[in-house]
Amino acid sequence: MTLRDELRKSELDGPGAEYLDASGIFYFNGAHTWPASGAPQNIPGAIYQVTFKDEHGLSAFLDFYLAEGNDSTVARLHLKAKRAGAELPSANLRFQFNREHQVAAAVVVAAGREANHHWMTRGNSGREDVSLSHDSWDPDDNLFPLESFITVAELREVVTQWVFGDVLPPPAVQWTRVPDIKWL
Amino acid sequence: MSSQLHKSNLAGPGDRNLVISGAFRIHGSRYGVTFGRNRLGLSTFLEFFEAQGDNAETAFLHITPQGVEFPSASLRFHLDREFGVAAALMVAADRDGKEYSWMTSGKAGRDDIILVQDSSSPRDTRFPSESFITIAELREVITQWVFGDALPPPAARWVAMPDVRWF
Repeated sequence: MTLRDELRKSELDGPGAEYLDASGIFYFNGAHTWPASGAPQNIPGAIYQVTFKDEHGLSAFLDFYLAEGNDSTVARLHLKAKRAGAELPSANLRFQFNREHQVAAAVVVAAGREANHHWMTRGNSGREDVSLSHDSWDPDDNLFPLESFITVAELREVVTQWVFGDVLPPPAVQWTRVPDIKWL
Repeated sequence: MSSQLHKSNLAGPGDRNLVISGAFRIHGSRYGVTFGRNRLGLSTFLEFFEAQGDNAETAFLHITPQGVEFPSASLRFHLDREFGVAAALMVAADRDGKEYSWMTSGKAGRDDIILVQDSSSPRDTRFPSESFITIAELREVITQWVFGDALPPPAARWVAMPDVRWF
């Protein structure tokens, strides 16, 4: 990291690290259809919301997602209070990966007690023929720069540290601070 | 089977899309899944669940009118991967407020397997062995639950089960 930019989960705004659930929303098997007029429509196959408990369970899910998940959409991970009705997460991680070329990129937004923090991955895996975004609704305006590309193997470590580690952003890769990316 | 119900007659506002969802556990992780219209999503789910699903846990499927909090129909199932058997129980309510409940009826029963309707209360909720069907049959049941029109799903035989109180 270019600055000393890290946060322990215990420093997040919210209920305290031990009271946070790690969960995510993931899309599978989408198919685009092209109607006679108008924009292409994405017909989803299934949307999964998963709350992780242990590394074995996370590993089984990552095997599934990286093999079968829809890599044209953005996956969203949250650290959120376990209590029912909790609205806003204390931190979010979004990523997209490209299965064919085994590259990925991620952004983290974390709500500290005094300010929000925004980080983006930094890596050497950029390639001009792959586009990755951190917003499925507006992908073209939220493209990851090539210097943010990491490998899917590194992404896997990032996600595991996100769920079970103590430090944000996950130290498995390099990160750079980025300006406010507008969503949490 | 005492009667049959069509999804279009399920309780709830008649003008809503029906959301087909499920809840289950795999290796301790809690999953919620909502199925879309692309059938590949369901077949991918079934392959994953059959390969990884927790033998000790009952899984749930629901049919809920969009924007409504409670489901109009629910199905519970439990499977034993090693022996390739499963059993299911479903409840539904129609637009007149009449409730229906059915349990699978099959010939795959074995005395050495325990399948339960509620894994949090396994002693009190055992499926009888005459409710056991094969996992291949369960797969068809789930496919018809998601994409078919008739309840209970006609891929298996069902018997009416009075006084099932859960949704």
